[in-house]
Amino acid sequence: MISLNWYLVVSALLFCIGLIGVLVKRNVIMVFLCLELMLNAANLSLVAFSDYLGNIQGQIFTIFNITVAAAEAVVGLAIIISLYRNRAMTNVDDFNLLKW
Amino acid sequence: MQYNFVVLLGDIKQISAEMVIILTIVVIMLMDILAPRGDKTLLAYISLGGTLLAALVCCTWNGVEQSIFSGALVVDRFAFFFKLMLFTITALTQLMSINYVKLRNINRGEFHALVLFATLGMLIMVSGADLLSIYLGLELNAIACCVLVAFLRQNVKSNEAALKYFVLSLFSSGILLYGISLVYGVTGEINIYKIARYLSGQQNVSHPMLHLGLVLLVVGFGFKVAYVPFHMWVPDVYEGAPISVAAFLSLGPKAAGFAVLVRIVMVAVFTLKVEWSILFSLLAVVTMTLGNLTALCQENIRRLLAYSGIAHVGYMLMGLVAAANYPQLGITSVIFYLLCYVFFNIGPFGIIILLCNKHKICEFIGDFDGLSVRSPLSAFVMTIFLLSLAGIPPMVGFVAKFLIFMAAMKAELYWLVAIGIINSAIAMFYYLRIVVAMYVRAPKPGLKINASPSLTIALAIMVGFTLLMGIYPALFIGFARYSIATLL
Repeated sequence: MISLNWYLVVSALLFCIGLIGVLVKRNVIMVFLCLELMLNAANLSLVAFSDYLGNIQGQIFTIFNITVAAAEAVVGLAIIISLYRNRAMTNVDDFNLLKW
Repeated sequence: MQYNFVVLLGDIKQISAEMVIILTIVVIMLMDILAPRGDKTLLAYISLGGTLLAALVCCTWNGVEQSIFSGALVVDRFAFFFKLMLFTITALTQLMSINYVKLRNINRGEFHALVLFATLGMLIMVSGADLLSIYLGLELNAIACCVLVAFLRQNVKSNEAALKYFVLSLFSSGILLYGISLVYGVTGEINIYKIARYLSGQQNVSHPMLHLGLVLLVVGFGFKVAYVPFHMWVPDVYEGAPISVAAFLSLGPKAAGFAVLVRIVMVAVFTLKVEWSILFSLLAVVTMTLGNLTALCQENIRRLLAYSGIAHVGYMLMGLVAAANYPQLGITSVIFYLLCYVFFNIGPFGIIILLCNKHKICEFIGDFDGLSVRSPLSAFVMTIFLLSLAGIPPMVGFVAKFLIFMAAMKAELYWLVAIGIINSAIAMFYYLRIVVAMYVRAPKPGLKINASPSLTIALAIMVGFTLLMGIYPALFIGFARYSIATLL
């Protein structure tokens, strides 16, 4: 039996990797993947807590979460595609029309 | 209690206002496909009618206090107050969009359906009683808003604003979710009222994981409400998005976010009030100071409004801090501020729409030079909105700010009040700068008014309420006080 702490450590690590990835990655698609990593870290910790506490709410939350993440992915990729059509680039540093 | 079909029907009856919105969305989407090509202005009127009908239906449930769908949603006066406010925001946005959508060649069916989707998300947020339904409402709103911001598909600024909005909104949802998972881990509950019951039953509530979870929740909602340091998307989105969408975003998500924040801090984690009041007082100071100082050096009115909006959030947070010791007074001042903010903050966006045509958007302060000569009435209306934003006595902005400062004084937060007053003085400068441009400078050629009946009606409603609430605020303060009576 794997104890709760291991799950939490893995989920915290995943969350940090995602968080740092969003801040340092330069390609839009990579940023997007790191965002998904953050969501999944939260999913993992919800499921782990749900198992530990023996109540089902955390798992229900996770199922909804996966659905929401899929919907977000659709909109996000659509935005990236329309940007690519207009500007033909995917580096976040180049999107600097709006500042201050 | 056993959950059977009869109970389900009873619960559905309680959310009939939301049902009306859903039906309107379906009708609009079907008609958009089935109707012949060409002018589809009818769709705009249908969505407006649906919103008003929903508001009427919502009024029939006033005074009901009930928890529905096994505690996932709650119908109470607090939610009722915010629902009416959201319907007002949506109706004003739609009135302002009717002509603007045609001007910018936006697909009407999709646009109005998405505005209603965003509204639906916010309606769920304000009546959400557990973290799951709040999260789902928030995401429904965020996804719809992302598409709305990106609506000018050929415009690179709109694309870029949408990308920034999307990345930051997903980023904040990730943080929010992680916070929710920690709170769930400590308390074993996702229902706000059950979390409150669990925490009040504990001897020692200072659990580090709970504190971290709480901070992450505040960060997550900070994106919606737009306080520092999660404000970076605001100016970019206001500048890039279609103007009526910017007007919608400047209020809708902010109001819904505040409703959720109030429900969480006043109900779920009220036992941790020492911790969150310190957190919010720091955020309030940084938010209003940074918002005001950055607004000073803006030339673009949309960006100026964005930073001024951030500063206003700072004032509202002051009321929330005061609520830790004086819940009644503090929360009344916050929600009254939000209510009147609806009218005088959407107003200036209406004036910007009034001045834009197919080729040019007048969004710089220089474009407003000599507006009083070209169109005395619109300059006068803009002045009313700006004076109200600045908080000058006959307008409602003054009453709202006065209530907040009074609540903070009562809670003995003198340093916070001092910083707030200095900030209001700074803010006066950039609002009056626009007034000076309109009244003192010589008019530029090519400034044209592009008035349409719907936009005129929207502006008239907003001016009317700004003046009415300023002259007779007692009625609306009474409504605010009534709506929080059962929450606290």
